[in-house]
Amino acid sequence: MKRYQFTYQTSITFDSKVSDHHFKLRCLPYRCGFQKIEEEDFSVSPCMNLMRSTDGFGNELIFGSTCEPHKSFTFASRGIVQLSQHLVVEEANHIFRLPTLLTTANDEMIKFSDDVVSFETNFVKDTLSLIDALHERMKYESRSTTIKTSAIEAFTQGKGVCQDFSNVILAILRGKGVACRYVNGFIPGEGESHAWVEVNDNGIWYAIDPTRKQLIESDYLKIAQGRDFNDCTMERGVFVGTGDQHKQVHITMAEI
Amino acid sequence: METLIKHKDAVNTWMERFGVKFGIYKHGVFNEQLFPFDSVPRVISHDEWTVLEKGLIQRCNALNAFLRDIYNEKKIVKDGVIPEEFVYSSKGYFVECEGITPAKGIFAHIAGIDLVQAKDGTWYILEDNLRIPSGASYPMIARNITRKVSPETFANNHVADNRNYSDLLKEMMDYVNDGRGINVILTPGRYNSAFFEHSYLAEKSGAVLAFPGDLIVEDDMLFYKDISGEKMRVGAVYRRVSDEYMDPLTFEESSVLGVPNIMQIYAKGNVAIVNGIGNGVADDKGIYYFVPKMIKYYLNEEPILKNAPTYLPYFEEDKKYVLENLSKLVIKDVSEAGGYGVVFGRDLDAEHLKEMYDLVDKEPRRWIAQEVIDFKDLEIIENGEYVERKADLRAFVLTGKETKVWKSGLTRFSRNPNSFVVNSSQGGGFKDTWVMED
Repeated sequence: MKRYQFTYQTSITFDSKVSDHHFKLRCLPYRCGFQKIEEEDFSVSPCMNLMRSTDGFGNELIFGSTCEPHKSFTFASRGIVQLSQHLVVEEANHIFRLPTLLTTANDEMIKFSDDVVSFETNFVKDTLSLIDALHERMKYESRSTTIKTSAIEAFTQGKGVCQDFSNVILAILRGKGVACRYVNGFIPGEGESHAWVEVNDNGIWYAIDPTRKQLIESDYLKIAQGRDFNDCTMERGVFVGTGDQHKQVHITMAEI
Repeated sequence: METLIKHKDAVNTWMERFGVKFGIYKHGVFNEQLFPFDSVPRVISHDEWTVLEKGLIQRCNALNAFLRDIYNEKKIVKDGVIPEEFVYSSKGYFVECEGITPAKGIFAHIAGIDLVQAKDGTWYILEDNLRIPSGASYPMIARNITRKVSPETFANNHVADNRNYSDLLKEMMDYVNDGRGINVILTPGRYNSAFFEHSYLAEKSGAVLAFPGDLIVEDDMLFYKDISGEKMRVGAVYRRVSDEYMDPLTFEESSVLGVPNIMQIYAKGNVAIVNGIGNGVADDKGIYYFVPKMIKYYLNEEPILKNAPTYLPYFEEDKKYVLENLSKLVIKDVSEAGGYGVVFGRDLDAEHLKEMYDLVDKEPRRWIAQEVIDFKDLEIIENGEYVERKADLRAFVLTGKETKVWKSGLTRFSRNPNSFVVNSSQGGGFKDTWVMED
């Protein structure tokens, strides 16, 4: 078990004032056995109306609205957590076996997988072998995809970021009937959020990082889980106004 | 009844004056037209009604049990009664509703169950509508008017009063509201096909008619803002906005018809939403096949009302039968509603039959097939003559503290003598439905 401190902040600036801004945020640690929360704070500004909840996946939600016209919007969270190995004993809901728009595999992807592994007995070992093979086909390249890029698109173009590596693995696993889910969270260092997957093998969820090719031990902070990125979005908002918005995200996480 | 027929034109004139209209989109253009009324009522005897009533209550209780189960424990799936992919690949299933049990555990507060009667008198369930079934206001207002133009008809016949629909609605809403606040009916607005009904039901049930933008989530509660800016807490929303548009922060982001973040407080049980979100998984045309099994599973009872003989091409055996008998079956696209996506095999020429064959073969989960039922036709008056037309009955079942069937219903008929499709969105007409008291 290790202790970590994390900080998270997103600032959005609008070219012109917006009003009637409603938002839904997922930026607090996920509640589960391997994450013990010692301290936690959050702030949203400007905000007149702030509420808390959890969604159907168990993710922590902060939601609310601000009616006053504003040109910038900032939300932040921080805390201290104790992390241990990412293992959860829990039967998988069937929805984690079903492909989504972002996590559908084509014949080529299934064939690619079948050439490497069988997914008959050890799902974790097979997933790790598949990830190794995937890195021969796909290379990591910043800004090579967007949040709307599907697993098929990323696999076909042969490059992507952490989200794409996760989507491709989820797509293939679901194609093989294995229950798996998308995870959004933080890793030690400074920068943006990270994405990885959890695979259910015989009623146990194992966390695997398709980008860094490893079984996850205890230095990852899980924020949200879902079928794919769309279930885990850190920020969703609607407002009245025109003009472009510019977003800046900053995350830090360090062992203490 | 003779006098009623004499007054047909008077009734239609009154309806026009009251603005009893139905909007239709055709080729992308919105047209509002009168919903043609035929003054010969459908008459259902007391004994016949007693059976229908029992069967409808049973069916809706099972459907509510199914919805509670599917979004929580999923026992019916785990016990293998319904294949899981049937549930989860349904377009009406919303993962966002996982773990939610609405106020008082009711999902389907207002069910519009469509039935047809065969020539031998047997009633068959054609379809369950558990999302936003419309149409109750039409027989209500028709009765109101016919009682005015021909009071003696109702003095001489013991017809159950149907003008109490709004009382049933209010009673049900008050029950799920549980004293939290006011009742509102949320309409998408003036250009919705059933806007007349939204405003009529609001007026009759004493609910506030709310437009998009009138409702706001604050302090974990739902509020209605009136024109002066005054806020009132809302305890129950009878929404006539579809699931996908109800919350732009949960579903379709571009929606301006819904209420941002209403899903969070709905999940917490701080507001009742009538009907519940995610009901589409239970009225899916594919799930329909399993409703008799649900009745046995949840209620341990034999189904009182029959489904129309239905085949699911999803099952190999059924697929084989459907493909072999395509030309005598009705094929329905499970994702379509309102009479769209319904194809009669016998109307298809060889080329289209082949097309249909390939579609069913390729995407079996998308279709159901049914035997054509030999409808008992109803008489209507056309140009002063009695003629026979196909008709169905939409019964309205309201679930609050108890499950109650409204003693009337919307009888819709096809104005085209060769058509079986009676939906108002396809230009059909309607009749009053008389349920006899003795």
